[in-house]
Amino acid sequence: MPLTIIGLGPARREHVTLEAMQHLEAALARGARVYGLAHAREAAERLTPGLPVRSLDYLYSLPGVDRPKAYEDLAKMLVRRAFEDGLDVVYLVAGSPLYVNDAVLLIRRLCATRGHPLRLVHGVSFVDLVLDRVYWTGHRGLQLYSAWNVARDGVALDPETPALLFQLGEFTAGGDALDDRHSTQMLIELRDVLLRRYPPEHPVILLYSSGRPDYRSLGRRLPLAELALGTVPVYSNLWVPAVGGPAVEAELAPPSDGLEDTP
Amino acid sequence: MSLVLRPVGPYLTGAAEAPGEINLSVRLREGLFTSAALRGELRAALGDQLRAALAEGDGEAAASLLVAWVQTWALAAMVDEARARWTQRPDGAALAVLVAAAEIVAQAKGWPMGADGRWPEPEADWVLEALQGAQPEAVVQRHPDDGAEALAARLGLPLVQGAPLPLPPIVSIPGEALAPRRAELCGAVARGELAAVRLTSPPPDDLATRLAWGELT
Repeated sequence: MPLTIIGLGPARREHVTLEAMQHLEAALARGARVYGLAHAREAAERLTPGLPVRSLDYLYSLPGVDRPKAYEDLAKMLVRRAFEDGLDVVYLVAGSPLYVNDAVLLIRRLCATRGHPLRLVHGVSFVDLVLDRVYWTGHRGLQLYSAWNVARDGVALDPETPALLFQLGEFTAGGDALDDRHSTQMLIELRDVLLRRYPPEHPVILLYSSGRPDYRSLGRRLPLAELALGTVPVYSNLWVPAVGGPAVEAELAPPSDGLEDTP
Repeated sequence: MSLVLRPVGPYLTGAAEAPGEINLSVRLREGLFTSAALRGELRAALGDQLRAALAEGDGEAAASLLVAWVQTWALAAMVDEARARWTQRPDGAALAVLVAAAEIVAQAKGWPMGADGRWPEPEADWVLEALQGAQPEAVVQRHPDDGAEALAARLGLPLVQGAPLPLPPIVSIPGEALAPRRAELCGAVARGELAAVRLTSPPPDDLATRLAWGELT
């Protein structure tokens, strides 16, 4: 297959699918031309030592090139490399290729419109880990948005449907993650938008990761009015239970790894 | 053919001079790409030119000469090690130092750059001195851009073809051609058909060129 996209899961080796591992090992064996952005390269280095992964990080540092343009260029370049240059191309992505990944979406569209075959190897999504600490029944559906969409793009949540808001930390319009100290501004804006439709005492749950090496799913339940009282890690998420929804959806679930909770 | 002459180009050689040849690239390297030359004759020549430019009120030339003159200190500290490494194996860091030194040599000596634009083309007096009385019978050409034709014409010697140098394939283009030829050039590099793309002029500072440059490098 000239072009393969492999999802490497959210962080831990145990979350990489058997299929993804097989494709990584095959890519190493046949000397495929492998590309990846920073997180994916780090993961591949741990998973398949010796697999050369070409960096695409230059796209993040070109002056005047915002993330949408960078992802468009990346997609076109990989499709060109595979189908015009005739090379065996593998593109590694963190998490699932199907969740909030503009470059993958563009590659899929380009391949579809041009009649190119594309192999996509699924990966565990960050959503799986995030939902680990809540009880989502699914009875009222689910709203999935970036915090930016809600706080700054005017997306109005339906209070009768639970919502998962991702990338809660402060990001630039171009998609650059800022450090956690900058999260307060986003939290303030998000809180104020949510307070238009939810009562101040409405429970919300902050969901985030402990980071290296265990990447434990951590959570903290608090009233909406207190959302902006502290900072949160860059890659945090917010669970907003439905107003009048199942009571269980407003609870913080214990860690699924069986270990003691360490918020 | 008992004695042949090899020109400076197409690159500053890292090899030793072989029996039966006078290799101007080796003699240039050993004579001028040295700490002693940079501290001595090259710095002195630049100083003289700088004083002359100031006396003539030529600020533009003076600024350029001042930069070159100042650089002789840094380069003098690095060039011997770079030259030694370059004679052992291809070395990117050493090459960067030698390229910087080449610009100083050309400026101090008032020599033009050679056919490939990267290495100074010594004037006839220096070449004759470098020959040390030897009388080569021909100039050997091993690369289209090695400057052999001009050297042969200057010395009135016949040009003979030597074994082509096994250089990696590169292409030279003006900077403004980078974006329009991005797909072709990057594809050739990716397929291993091209080792490098040489820009003969600064690339424009536009989005398409930045993206092409990013992919290429």
